[in-house]
Amino acid sequence: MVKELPIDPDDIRRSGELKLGSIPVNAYEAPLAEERRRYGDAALERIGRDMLLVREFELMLNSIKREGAYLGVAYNHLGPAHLSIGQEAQAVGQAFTLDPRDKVFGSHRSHGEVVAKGLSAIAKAEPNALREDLTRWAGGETWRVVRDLLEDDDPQQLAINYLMYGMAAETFGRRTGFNRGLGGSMHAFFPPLGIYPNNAIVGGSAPLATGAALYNRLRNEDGLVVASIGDASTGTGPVWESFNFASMGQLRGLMDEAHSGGLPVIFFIVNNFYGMGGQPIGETMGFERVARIGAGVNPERMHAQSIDGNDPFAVIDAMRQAREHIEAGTGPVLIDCQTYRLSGHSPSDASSYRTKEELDRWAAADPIERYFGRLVDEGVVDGDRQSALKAWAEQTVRAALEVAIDDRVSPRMRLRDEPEVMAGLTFNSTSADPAEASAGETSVAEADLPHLQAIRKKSRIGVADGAPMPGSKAVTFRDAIFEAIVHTTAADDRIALWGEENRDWGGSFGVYRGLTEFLPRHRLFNSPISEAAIIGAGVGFALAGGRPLVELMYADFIGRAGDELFNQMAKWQPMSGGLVQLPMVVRISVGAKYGAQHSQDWSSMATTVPGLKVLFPATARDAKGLLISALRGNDPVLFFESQRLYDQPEVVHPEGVPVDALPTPIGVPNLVRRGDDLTILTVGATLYRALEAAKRLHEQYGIEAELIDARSLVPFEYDMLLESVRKTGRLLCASDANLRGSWLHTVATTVTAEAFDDLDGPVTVLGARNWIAPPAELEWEYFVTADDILDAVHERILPLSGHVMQPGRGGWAVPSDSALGL
Amino acid sequence: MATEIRIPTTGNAGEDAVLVEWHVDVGGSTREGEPVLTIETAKSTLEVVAPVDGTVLEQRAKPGDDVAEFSVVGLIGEPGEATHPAETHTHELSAEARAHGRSLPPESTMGGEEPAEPSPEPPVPAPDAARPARIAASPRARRVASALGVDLTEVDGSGPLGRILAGDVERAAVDATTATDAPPVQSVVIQPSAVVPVRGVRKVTAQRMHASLSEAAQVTLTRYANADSMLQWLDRIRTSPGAASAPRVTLNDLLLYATARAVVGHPVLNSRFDWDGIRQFDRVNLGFAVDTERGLFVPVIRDAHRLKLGELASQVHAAIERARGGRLQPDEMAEGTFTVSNLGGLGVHWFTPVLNAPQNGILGIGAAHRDGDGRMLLPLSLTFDHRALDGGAAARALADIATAIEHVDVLDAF
Ligand SMILES: Cc1ncc(C[n+]2csc(CCOP(=O)(O)OP(=O)(O)O)c2C)c(N)n1
Repeated sequence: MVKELPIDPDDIRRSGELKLGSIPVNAYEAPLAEERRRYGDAALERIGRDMLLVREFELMLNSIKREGAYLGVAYNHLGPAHLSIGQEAQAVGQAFTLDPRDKVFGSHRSHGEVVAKGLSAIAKAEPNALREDLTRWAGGETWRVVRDLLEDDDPQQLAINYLMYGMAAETFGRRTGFNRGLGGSMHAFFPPLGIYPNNAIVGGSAPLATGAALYNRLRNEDGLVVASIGDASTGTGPVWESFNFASMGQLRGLMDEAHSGGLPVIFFIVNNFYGMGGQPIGETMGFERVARIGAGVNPERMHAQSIDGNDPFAVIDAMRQAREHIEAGTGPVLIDCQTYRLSGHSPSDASSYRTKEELDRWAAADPIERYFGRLVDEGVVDGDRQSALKAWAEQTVRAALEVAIDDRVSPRMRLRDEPEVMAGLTFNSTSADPAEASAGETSVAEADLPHLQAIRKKSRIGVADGAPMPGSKAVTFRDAIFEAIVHTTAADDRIALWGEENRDWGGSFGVYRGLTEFLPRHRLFNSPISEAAIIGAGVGFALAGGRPLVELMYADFIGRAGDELFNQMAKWQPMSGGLVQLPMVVRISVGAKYGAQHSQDWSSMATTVPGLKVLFPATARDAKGLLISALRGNDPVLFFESQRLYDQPEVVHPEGVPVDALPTPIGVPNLVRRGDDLTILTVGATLYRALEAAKRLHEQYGIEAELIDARSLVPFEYDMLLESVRKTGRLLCASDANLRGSWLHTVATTVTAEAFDDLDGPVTVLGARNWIAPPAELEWEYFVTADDILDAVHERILPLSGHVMQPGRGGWAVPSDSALGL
Repeated sequence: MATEIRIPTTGNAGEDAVLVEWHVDVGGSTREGEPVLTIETAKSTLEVVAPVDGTVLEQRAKPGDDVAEFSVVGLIGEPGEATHPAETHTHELSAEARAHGRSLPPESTMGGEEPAEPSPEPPVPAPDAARPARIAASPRARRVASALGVDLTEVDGSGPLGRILAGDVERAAVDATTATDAPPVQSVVIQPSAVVPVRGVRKVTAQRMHASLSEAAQVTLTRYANADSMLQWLDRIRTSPGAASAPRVTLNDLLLYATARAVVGHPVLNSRFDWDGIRQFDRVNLGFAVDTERGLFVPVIRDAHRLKLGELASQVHAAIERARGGRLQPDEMAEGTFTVSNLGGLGVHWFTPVLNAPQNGILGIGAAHRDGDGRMLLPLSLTFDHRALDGGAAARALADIATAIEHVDVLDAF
């Protein structure tokens, strides 16, 4: 390994001064004539038109929410309406320079950005390609409604009708909306026009946009990505993590020339000076000015500037400059776009946090009125043009509304009718077409990779002459994962890996040792210690077309990435109505011996959030096969690995670990041992303790346990387990997850209901006690042991003659502990 | 040692008898084989004889008492001989005590002293008769118990907290079957080794038989038929030149052949009962009982009285095969006018066939045996419905059937 970044003590200790440089504030100034020359009068008129349509859509929503009708069309809307009236110059200015393939990721208040980006893309798109995009989305369902009921001879107007209808229908939960009515107005997105997820988790757009920009950078694709972020949301960790992630030094310093450059992302702070009611400047934040943030992130100060967001030209100018910086490879860019929300946070907002005087003054600075005033003054448009365009906007919105609320043409999904429908929207359960993938760029050929060659010298099976072999002689769980990654990354260039200490170090547990020699930096890099950004960037990377394999060093760090795992990674497939794919795998290592914050098996917790596949292999063969399946699959997968098992050779599958890339089907448990008297289901490393227990049951009590390793928690096919329980009549489940909320309780409930009359004892669940994981010395007081399994069989299921229980509590839940809070 | 006087079995398990009178008082002497008491059952009066010579030492029941079969009602021995405590009483008590789930109070106190004050029995809450205490048994144990007909209250649980497990039930069921060697007096409840659900063919048979016996007035007549010529003829048929290529003929075929030809001449028997009118027939649709693994089937041969022996035999064999294969169609079992049931192959001589309602006659055929003169005799049992015909008509029909059997070889001669 070449040491790329030496640390020189002389440099470090030399005295000096850090100069942060200046940040422009409202620097834009240009006579209208210059803008006329630059963009042409038609474009100037279009800016005004677009602002009017953006506003009209929200006036419609406001009117529907407050009066139950808009222009005589009555409707009752149950959902939210977070309006941005007064902020139209910001939205339209942001979109104006964007190319159709540029992507915008918005917030809960992004109707404006969606409509503006859609209008901009429609104006610029190649007409045939545009039509193709519109007709193909959602199998043509949206298109057919628009074609039949909102037809227009002008293809631009037809596309605008489509945009407004898709948005309105989505807002009202119709299956003909952009996302089959499953996202709603806060989340609507439409990738064909570059409109990416809008996030009701404030600041949520930042890591996603960072990931999409990372995709462009690492895959050498053109295009900008914009994250719209509320000013108050700059207080969130993931936003800061994203600023840094997009700026990290290696992007410009260490990537090879073809992949070098800061990320092409614009963090566009929609600064309306309020959260809901709290004020970042002067109250909740310390920056005094949002743009100051840039100075703390990188030497370019993120090219930050504060601009007058009520002047579309100022916004356009800032976006133009941003593009120049990004094209020069010095992204990201931060724009502090100052504007003002004239409407309330939501229709129920009484605006108690601001004065009438303030509102009046900003109303006088209404961007639309001011803009048309200027155009008329300078003779760009006639005096009555604004009202004509306003009438057009009303008509366009009203027509879309009428169709969108008509139950006959814009029905809702019937979610309960067929379970396959929601299952299909949640998981596509498809795999990438190998023909679609271009071979992965690697530093050496697979066959020449030294570490792979070393593994190849080992035995594929971990048992010789009936005795277990050491990990130095037989392929281990760690080796199996390594092989899976080598196979899949070599076959598909879209796969990229990042995580903490992944490169050079080889990951905390050495799983990637030897991988640095195989994958160039743009396919394997060290991330900052930013769990939210690691995962969130993965989500954006996948939405953009990539296939990320990212790592959380410990399951205990899931909390740091909670939103990105549970609200982003888990949600965008179903929230898109199943119309996008999110092929992403997160490897999560489950610790041991490191105490309360490094030893928790949170796989059960992960299963409680719909939208994630949750795998937990326990043998080398399954680790390899399941990781291959996950990486080839097109769904989001959490891949749990136990640190107890990294050195474990294959002793369960007699076939050993295959040399080839052989996938293991996801969702099917593994029958480890046959027996007629008792079924034991395990998750993860508990398997080996259950094997030990099964051996003792056999030797000491003549009881034959049938042992099943779940391997996959979501999805999980019950057939094998039910068949086994119908035979044995007895089921004991064990994992290292805390008892309370263990996934195994879900299994227990299901089995009890499905096989009730076959049960010869209560289904018994064992797990880690409901306390903290203690330090290594006390660990086996906490986790399930083979003795715990025997005790549970004896006391709960089938008394074992002569068995002596351990002192103290068993490993199963008891009511008295519950009363104590355990 | 005193000898017990036991009530003999009346032949009907569980049937109670009443003690009518003692013939010998306490202190009186008995002779072995001579009556000591009389009991009465629903059907008859029985003398109970003394098992030994001796003196009646004790009478444990008095006239008018119900006495169960095998119960001890008295003792015979030498005068002055000590008698053991009443065994049956202990038995009853312990059974009761078991039901209450507590141990017996001691029979007597050590040293023979009466306690100064009788200690009151600790109050034992009487189990609620209407709602038995909940039994701890696994769902699987309950399922197995209901399949094997095991009463869970009789099963000891080996599971945690005494819960009854499936294995406990299975063992209890096995115990119950093996326990049949034990003297009957000790078995409280007989445990079936298996409970066969009453469904399918079993159910149909059960319903038909029950309906038949509860509705028809069934009388069975018996007589022999001489089977010599039939057996000779069967021999000759089997050794005749065409036999190899012709359908194989059995004794049963000959019997069906003869019966059909005889019955057609007795429309009063070849008939069906209906309160609206007894339907008599001049053709014989002859049913015959086929015992299969699936149960009893009765295929019907249409116009059996007209069929030549070979035709009849091949139809009969085909029907048997279909019956055994479960392929018999419902219409193949319909429209019968008379039925034959042959238990001869199983060694039965006489029996009382049950009418295949609403038919008015069924012929039972038993196992042939030789009489003192060396003749082969075939036992015939004809059940007829006395609602439809009277004994004379039935006897004449049976006589004709016997004749037809005796002349089976020349039936088609004219
Ligand atoms: C993670 C998260 N925290 C809190 C909220 C609730 N919330 C919704 S809007 C909002 C204010 C956001 O203010 P800002 O980011 O300035 O955006 P604006 O609403 O002004 O457009 C809050 C706190 C949320 N949706 N997500």
